[in-house]
Amino acid sequence: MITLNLSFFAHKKGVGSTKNGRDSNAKRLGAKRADGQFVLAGNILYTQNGTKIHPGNNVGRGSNDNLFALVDGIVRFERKGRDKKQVSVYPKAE
Amino acid sequence: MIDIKIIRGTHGKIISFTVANHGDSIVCAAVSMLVLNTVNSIEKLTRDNFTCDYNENGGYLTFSLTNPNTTTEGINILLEAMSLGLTSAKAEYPTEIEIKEIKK
Repeated sequence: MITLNLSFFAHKKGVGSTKNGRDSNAKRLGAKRADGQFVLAGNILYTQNGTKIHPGNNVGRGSNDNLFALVDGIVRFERKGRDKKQVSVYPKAE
Repeated sequence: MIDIKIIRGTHGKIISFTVANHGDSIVCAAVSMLVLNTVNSIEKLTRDNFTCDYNENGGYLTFSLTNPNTTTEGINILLEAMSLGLTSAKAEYPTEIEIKEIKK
C-alpha cells in the first residue's frame, strides 16, 4: 500500500523511487483432499510443481505433477522413506 | 501544473496512467488522494496484476496493468472512477491540471 500523502503531488524536490505491485496470480497449489476422505477415481488429490508429494498406491501423476486417484477409496497421506511423503488411495473394504 | 497521461487499450479501457509534476493548491491534495487511493484500492480490492513505480518523495507515479486484455470489471470501474474525478477536477481548475488521453 502507498501512504496516502495528500501532498504527494505538491511542490517539493525529492529523489529516489520505489515500486510495488503484484505480478502473478496465486497458484492455489496444495492438498485438494484430506487424509481419510473418500474419493472417486479421477479426483485430484494434490496439485504441485515437482513432486513435493509422491504418488503412492492407486494414485497417478499427471503431466503437470498433479496427483489423482486411480480407484474409488479412502485417501491416506503417508511417509515415504526417511524424508519423503506420498499419498495413496485404499479401496473401501466391502 | 500536474500532468496526467491516461492510456487506453484498443478495447477502450484504461490500461495504464502516469501522473507527474506538482501543483500548489488544494488540487494537488485532491489528485494525490484520488490517484493514491485508486492504486491502493486496486491492490486491496482486486486480484489483477499490475506494476506501479512512484517517487517516494512524490511528484511522480506510473501505473500499468500486467495483463491489459484480461482485466476484471472491478479494476475497470476503479480506473474509470479515477479518470472521472480527474476530469471533473480539471474542469474546475483548468490551470492546475493537464490531462492527455492516448488510445493505443
